Amino acid sequence: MDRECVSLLPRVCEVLAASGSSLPDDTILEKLLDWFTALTEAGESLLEACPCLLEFISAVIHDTASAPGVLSFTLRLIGLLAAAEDDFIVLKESLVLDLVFSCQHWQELGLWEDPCIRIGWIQGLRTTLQHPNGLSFFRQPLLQLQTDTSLFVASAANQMLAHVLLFCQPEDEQNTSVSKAVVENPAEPMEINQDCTAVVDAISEYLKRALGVPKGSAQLHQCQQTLRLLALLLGQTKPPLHDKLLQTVTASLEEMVAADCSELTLPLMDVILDPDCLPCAPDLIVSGILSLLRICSGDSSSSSAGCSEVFRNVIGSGKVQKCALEALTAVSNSPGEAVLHKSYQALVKWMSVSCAIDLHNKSHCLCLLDLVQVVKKRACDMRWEVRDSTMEFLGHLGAMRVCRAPAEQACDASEALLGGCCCTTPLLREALQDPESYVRASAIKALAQTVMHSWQEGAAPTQEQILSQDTEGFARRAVVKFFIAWFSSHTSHTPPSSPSVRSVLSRGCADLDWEVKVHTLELAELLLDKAFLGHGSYTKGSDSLVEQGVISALLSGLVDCDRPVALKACRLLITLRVTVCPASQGDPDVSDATANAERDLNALNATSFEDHSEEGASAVSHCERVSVCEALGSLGLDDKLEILSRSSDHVHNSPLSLLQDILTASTSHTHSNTQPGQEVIVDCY
Amino acid sequence: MPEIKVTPLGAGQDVGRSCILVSIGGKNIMLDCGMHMGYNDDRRFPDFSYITQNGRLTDFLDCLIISHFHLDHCGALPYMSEMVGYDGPIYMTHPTKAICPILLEDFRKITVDKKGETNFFTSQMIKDCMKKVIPLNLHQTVQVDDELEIKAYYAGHVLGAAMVHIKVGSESVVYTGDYNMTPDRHLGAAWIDKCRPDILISESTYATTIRDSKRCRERDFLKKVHESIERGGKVLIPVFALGRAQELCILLETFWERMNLKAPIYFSTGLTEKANHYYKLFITWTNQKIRKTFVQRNMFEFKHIKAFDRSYADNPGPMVVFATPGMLHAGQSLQIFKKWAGNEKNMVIMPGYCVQGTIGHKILNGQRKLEMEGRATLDVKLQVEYMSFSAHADAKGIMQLIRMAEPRNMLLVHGEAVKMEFLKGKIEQEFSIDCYMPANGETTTVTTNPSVPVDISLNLLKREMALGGPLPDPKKPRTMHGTLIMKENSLKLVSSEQALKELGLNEHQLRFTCHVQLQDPHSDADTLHRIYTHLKSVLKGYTIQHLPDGTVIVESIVIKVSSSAEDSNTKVLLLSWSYQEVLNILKRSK
Repeated sequence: MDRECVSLLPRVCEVLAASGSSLPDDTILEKLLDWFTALTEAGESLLEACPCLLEFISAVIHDTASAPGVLSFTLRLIGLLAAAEDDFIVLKESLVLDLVFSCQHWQELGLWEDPCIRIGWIQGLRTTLQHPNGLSFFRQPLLQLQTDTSLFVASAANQMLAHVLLFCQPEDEQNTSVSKAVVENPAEPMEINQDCTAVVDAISEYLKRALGVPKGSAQLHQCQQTLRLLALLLGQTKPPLHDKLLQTVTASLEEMVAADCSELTLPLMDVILDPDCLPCAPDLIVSGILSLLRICSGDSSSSSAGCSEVFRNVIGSGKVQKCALEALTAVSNSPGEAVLHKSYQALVKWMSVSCAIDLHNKSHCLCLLDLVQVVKKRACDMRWEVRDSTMEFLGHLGAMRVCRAPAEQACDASEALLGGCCCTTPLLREALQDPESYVRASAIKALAQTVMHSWQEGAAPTQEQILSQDTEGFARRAVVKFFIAWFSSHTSHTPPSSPSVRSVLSRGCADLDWEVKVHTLELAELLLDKAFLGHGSYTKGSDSLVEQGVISALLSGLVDCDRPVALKACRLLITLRVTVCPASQGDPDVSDATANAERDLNALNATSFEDHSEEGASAVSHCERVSVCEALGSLGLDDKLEILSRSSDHVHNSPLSLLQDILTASTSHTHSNTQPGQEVIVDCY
Repeated sequence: MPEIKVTPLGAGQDVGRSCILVSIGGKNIMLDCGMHMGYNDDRRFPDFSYITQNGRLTDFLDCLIISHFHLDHCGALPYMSEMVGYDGPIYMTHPTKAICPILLEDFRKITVDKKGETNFFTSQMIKDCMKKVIPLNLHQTVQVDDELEIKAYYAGHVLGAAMVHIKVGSESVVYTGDYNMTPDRHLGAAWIDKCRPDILISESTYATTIRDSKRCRERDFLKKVHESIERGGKVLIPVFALGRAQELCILLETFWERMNLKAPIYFSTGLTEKANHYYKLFITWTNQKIRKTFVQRNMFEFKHIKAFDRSYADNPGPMVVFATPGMLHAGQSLQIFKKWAGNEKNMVIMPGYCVQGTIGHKILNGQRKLEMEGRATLDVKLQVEYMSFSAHADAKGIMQLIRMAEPRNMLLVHGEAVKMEFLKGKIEQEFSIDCYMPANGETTTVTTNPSVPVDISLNLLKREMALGGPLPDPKKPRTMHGTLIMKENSLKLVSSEQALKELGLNEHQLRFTCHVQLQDPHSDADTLHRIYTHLKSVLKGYTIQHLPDGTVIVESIVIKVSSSAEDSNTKVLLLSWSYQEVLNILKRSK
């Protein structure tokens, strides 16, 4: 533990013990516990490192005026400490455990009524039960708390019961986690095993009693809660205990299912439905779903009398369609709103796993014609949501390779399905003018994925215009990504023109949106990579790095106030330094290349550094011409990287900062007239 | 008895994130789905495992309603819909739907800055989530399904903020979200129908405060900014992109105009144009003054407020800068703060709440030496001011809303326990209704007494009047006889004749018969005569006839006598009567 923290902790404990309900922020106690938890997980004995904690605990639990929030925190802290066997013994000897884990004690003080005390009690007890000694504290009231009036308490009690049962669960060959622990620590093994059996018995007995057809709202609540517990348990227990539990409850479950009580449907489903068992073959499911979808859209040839009622309810039902499409997507075995959106999703998924489109097959052709019509219609729907899903769909198709059967060449899916660019490109182009920025962005993204390279050259000016004029970040982000996609696919074709690159980089870097800036740096990275192909070989002609504005982009990124931008720029500059500058007189293999690079980069106008440099870079600003390596060296990149790689709030969200905040808040509370007042705490936006 | 249940998962006796579950008439509705800004992990989101453990929220919830775009009310929405997997309907007003993604993007940026952040949603998730949102218009009843309907009302507070009236059958609940009962510079005051809900769920941020007038706070703010500018200082106002920022912009713009001030005002974020764009787009949601003057001059087209470039921070001379984010924890506002903190002429005005772990929190607590990255320390010499501009109803406003809506029960959320307790007392005393304040996770159950309106036919009322007695008085309940019929979804109490006519039914007479045995040695005719004589002597005043066909009739009750086949001494009396007749006889014998 940090020494400064150790020195502050006693005062913080004093403040907390005396704080009443006037804590400066509702998160600080949770954050303190987080910190303590992290420390114990790192293997530190908290009581040894901070003896003040024991005093704090004792002060709080014996003070009848302690605030419930602080008491609850203390209960959880005690649990955390007691989880370590050494600290458990210390606490047990100081009689703390017996006192605080007796709920009678809290009842007598009249504090049991407060749900936060009950939660603290349960959670404290739960963390204590990490080793067999803790089992002796298993208390009957836990079973009652399962139906507590507070949802949070009831849920915590359920979690706790599951935890206890799993802890006592006999693993393979009678080897319980408890009995393992007993072998390691042979003190009182008999007693512990007895504890264990008693706990399992008590809980099973309780389950049996609590389940059944409810006859009133109290019983209903108990049933619901118990079903939840059962679902938790069945999901986690292993064979012997799992089977035993099932045996215990099967009869009651059957009875409850038969009683058809609507309030119990959901929790019962949770218990009964086993996600792993699929009732029939996937093919059957698919054809079933497809007929259901046909019925939904009013298209079905079968019309037996019994079905008409079903039809009436199902035709046009968005809910059923959504579920069916979802199921279809799930059955296609790839990882997976509006019905249309889901249809598109399902179609894309199916294309990617199965589809071999046979253009000689008449019915396939008809389907495709239909699809073209639908896409055209949806591309100009009134709702932006629909237009956007359509653009996304076009993008997905463009990115997908499919085989046209039989034995034709692979092509992209939009080609196969929609007849390619001649159909999609006009739609996408039109969407670039869409009033909704989401749609514009999706259209740009789709264009990047769909369109032939020849077209991209032609599209560049439009894209640049969007980058400079679109008021919304989404569209501008997509534009930069468009250029990335274009440039990275550009291997054998003519390279993108230099002015175009330069303008994208300079506009992108000056953008107000942080993601546009990050993407711009990704583009710069691409250009860097191309310039230094392979291991640091610096190809001639890449003096354009400067000309293109790559260096400018990196330097301006480095001083950006948005951390991800600065971090990216810093990393790229380090890469540049590693490539260009010999590491202390350098590696002989690359020295030629780097010398070349250095010479070229030296042509870089020093003002480019001057413009963007701050702080560490001031050294370069007065030289007219400076070695690039010196310039890069003067930026203090390694220190910057270290800082930038951390969270932006690592200083102010640290444990030390937390302790300081608690102390400052307490002093400012005592001189509260110098402060802006209570409103600061409650005023939410 | 039907019940309505309300369980806050958040905002129960606190001002953290709002998330309230309501069960009404068999429907489950979630009100708001907020995020707690103080945590960096899953604790910032409501814990939906309390509702269902397997994430199948769609099976449980009938709909989700978002009251306004503040993150403590909508911040967990993409988490719920895209990560937990809720797929049911989501409702919010048009402006909220348009502005929500901006705020969510804004916050996503902050979380990307923090490396410790886990499990946060992506840009794509925000979009996919917004696609599922069904927009609401004010005062338009939206049918969620056959039984559940919702209606939105203007709430003030921020652009697009709404209160919702949720109705299932005759039961209803109103949820206020955050609201404001006094108009401010850019928004109007909240308003609702006298809809008499079973429960009014109201925020209570300022439950015990009668806030000094907004004018005072505004004057104070302008005075401080002015003083600082006059002495050549720079003023930093850290803000979130939308909401208060626009109000403060209008305030400064008009002040600059009036005082003819020359110091530049900058707004640093790229989001401003967009934000202002939305204010223009949703001009109907702003207050009357803005709407009226809109034709001559758009209040949101600022003359004095310009876009900020980071190089301006080093310019000499006074200036005012609005910069994001609002708690000084990262980005531009923090960068400017670091530059300006060392000069006592400068000032920072915090217009809202700051969570622990931010510089905003520290300087509001009075810390003057801040540890910075790379072991540097920063001496805070500039003036630190806190100005609350948040627009919540104060105690007076809350009471005013109760008077407007006339709820049967009151339930307080989004406030501190101690203050709620005080207000609860006041409400119960003044309005004689029950007031609840459940803590998070606690369920309040209110039994409703649904009153079903029934029309009564004029004929029936006339007949009642003809029978004498007092005229019908709506305040005094009394018993009436009639036939209740349901026609075209409404209930009507009519006379039975009218019921038959309206429903096109035939009348059927029901006759009851029974056999009674008695021992009598006389002939059948004699026995009948003896009965006749007896009845004549007992039932005076009734019409009793002995007909020649061997029957005795009392009113319409028919009596016949026959001998038993086995034993001629045993006589069998056949009695037959109609139901109506018995009633008549009973009436007369009273």
